[in-house]
Amino acid sequence: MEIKKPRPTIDPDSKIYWEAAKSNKLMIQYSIDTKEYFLYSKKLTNAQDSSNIEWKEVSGQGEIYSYTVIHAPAGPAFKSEVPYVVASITLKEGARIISNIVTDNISDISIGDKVKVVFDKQDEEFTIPKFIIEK
Amino acid sequence: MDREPCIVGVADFPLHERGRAAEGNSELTIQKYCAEQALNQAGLKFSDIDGLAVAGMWGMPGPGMMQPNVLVEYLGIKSPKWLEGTNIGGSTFLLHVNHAYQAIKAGLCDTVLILYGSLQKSNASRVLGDRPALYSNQFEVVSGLPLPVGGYALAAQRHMNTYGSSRETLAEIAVSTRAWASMNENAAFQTPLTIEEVLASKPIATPLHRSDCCLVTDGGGAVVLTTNEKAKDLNTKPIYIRGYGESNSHSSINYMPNMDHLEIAKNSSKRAFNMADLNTNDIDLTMLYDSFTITVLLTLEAIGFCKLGEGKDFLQNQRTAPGGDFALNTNGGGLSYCHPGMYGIFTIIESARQLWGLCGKRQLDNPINALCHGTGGVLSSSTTLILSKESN
Repeated sequence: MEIKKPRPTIDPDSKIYWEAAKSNKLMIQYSIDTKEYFLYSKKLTNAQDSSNIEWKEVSGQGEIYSYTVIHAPAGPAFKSEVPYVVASITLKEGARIISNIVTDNISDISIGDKVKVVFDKQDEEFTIPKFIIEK
Repeated sequence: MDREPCIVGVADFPLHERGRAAEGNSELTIQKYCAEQALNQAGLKFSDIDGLAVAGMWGMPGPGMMQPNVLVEYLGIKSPKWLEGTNIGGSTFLLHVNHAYQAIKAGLCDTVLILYGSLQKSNASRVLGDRPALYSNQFEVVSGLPLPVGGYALAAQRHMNTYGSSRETLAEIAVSTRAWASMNENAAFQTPLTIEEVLASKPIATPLHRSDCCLVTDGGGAVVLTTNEKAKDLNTKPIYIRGYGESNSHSSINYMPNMDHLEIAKNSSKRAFNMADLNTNDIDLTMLYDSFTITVLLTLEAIGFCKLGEGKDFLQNQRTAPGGDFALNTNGGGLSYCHPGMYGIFTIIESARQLWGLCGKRQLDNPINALCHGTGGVLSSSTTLILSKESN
């Protein structure tokens, strides 16, 4: 029996991110007061006092802040994919987000590599924004 | 000083077969045993306890969500005046000491029992992929980041990139910690380890390999605190809490401000040193939570035992092994002694035993001051204690 991969428990702070992904758009939050972008947490911004928040589509371009090649999968659902790459990515707009790097060459990844978003459609209800390396 | 809080008893739970509790135990029997041992060491009874702190991962969902209630009932503590059940990960028990210090000092209670117990190995409850895709963690869980190791791996990769540290740097830590464990008969792994063996161990989440990761064991511990006035009539010499600090910054690793340095450990240790009026040169024993080798490297640099990025030089040539000039994790740590899930309490237990001179083969030469540091979550929370034979 196929073991299903985990799906996000969608909440008010992630709903538009996942909704937008279904139509191949990357959307994150933006503080109108401090002009900073973020996804979910304001921790990396100075926008903690700002409630003037809107969702904006962003370029989908960024660079690798850090990454790890996974050999011990996060449960049986990911077993068939090892080795795979999870990365923390700094978007051009400044926000840091976490996702997979899709690549055929896992030995050729470095911090600072430029990446761009691709949309990995799981089914009609769920698409995951992932990234590929821009050479 | 009046009502100066001090540690008067500690205990850990005996383990067999590489970190297993004897059959027939529950998380509650483990904690009761540790409580009895620690109280006996001090010369106290359960009826002396009027404050209780406990944290753990057992019994959830269910009674374990309110662990102070379960333990007060199970141990039959008659009339507790002060309770603490905060859980900020494996760093928690140092926070419990800190908060117990404040409660005792303020006269809210006199004698506090701090408890921890786990059967995670026997119950096979530790897996890399059991976490729900909830709140800020939803993005990494959907991406298949094994937790917590994947979070620490991201920090390790970033540290290596920024400062030129390497897998060899991390291996120094695994090897020296194992050498200390070889002198702890309660340690799960006591056979010496080499740098080559660490480098050749199988990859988990690069750059972290198997030997960079803490063990999965059962275990438990207890710490008893009281006032210096009460301690005069007890069996042990008081160990004073000269300094403490606590801080945190995030839940998901993605929101750690800078993954190559542990800002929260810098902050919590600075507060501890300021309170103690001591500095890093005054520390005779350093007990750092070693969930992963990278945790130790980040913590050493953040506390200021060496400068940011200089850990790779600091750790060279087994400096932190027995006989080296920096005594680190002398019980064998979470890497080789035990790691029941929330290891922090064992930094306190080992420090007290070293300060009392009870450590047998691995005993240090008359240490006065010990620094304990806890890290919880995915480098999420930091707690620091400076314990001493001398009061402030």
